[in-house]
Amino acid sequence: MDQLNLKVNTFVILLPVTRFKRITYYTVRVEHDDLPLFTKFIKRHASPEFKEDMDLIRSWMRNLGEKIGASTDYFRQENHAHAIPPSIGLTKKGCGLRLYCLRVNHRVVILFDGGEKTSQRAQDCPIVAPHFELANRLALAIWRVLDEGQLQTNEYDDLVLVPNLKIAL
Amino acid sequence: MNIMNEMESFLSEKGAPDIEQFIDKNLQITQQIYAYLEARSWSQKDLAKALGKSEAEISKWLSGTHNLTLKSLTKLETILEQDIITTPQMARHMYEQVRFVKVNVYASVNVPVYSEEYIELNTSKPYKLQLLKAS
Repeated sequence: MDQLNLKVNTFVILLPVTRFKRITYYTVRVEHDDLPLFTKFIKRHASPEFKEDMDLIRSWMRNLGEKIGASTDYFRQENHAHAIPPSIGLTKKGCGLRLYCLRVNHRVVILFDGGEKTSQRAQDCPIVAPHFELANRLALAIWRVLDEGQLQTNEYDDLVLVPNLKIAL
Repeated sequence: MNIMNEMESFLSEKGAPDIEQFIDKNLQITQQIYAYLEARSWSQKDLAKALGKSEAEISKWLSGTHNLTLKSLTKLETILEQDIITTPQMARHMYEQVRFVKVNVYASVNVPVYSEEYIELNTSKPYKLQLLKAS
């Protein structure tokens, strides 16, 4: 993962990914980065090695999006952020991938980046630790702009995107 | 393909059919369990206690991606005193036995109407309900 230089001001931009009947998924792009975080996650795990885990995450996201909504029961709490999938799944080894995100409410999920978790605690895993840290910084920053009213939700609890809104990390 | 389309198409693509089915069924099952818990005003903690399991274990069971065994499911059905899984064949058998359903209709606060009727199930014609004024 590219390390962010946190000594200088870093800004992120919120982008819509897709809208399902019950959930709208968003992601963020770090200013001056070419790709949004969720695209980076997809591209880095496009190899056959991760196909089963990616199928599981995709199917799970679509099912919640179409039928259930972003119920808290289906998200792992990761300090201030969240992660999916919530538990080990179909395969013997379980789903090793963690996709960090922020469940804002039952309608809104903001997708970040993630990776293959190789230790019990995310902070101890060299692969996911930086994603975990960034997800938590992003979660705090997004809650801040929501609290301050720079970012708002509409009557359907979906986000009202503000053009050119840069969220400071 | 541009970046936004790439993310959207990732989510709309279908994965392996067995995984799609696994997630779909698993979420249906956990949603059913949550509905039973809500009807009983039970928390996950209450369910864990009734099953003699830890809360963490039950949270994993109800996560929507856990591979629940038939043994675990039947334990849940026993504790909740409800079917969680009903096969189509069993459902057909159960509902074939039902010939009459009681229908209560309540409408309008200002003009109270009340109807209580038994209607015979017949799928070949639509039903018409007559609303009667409450006596």
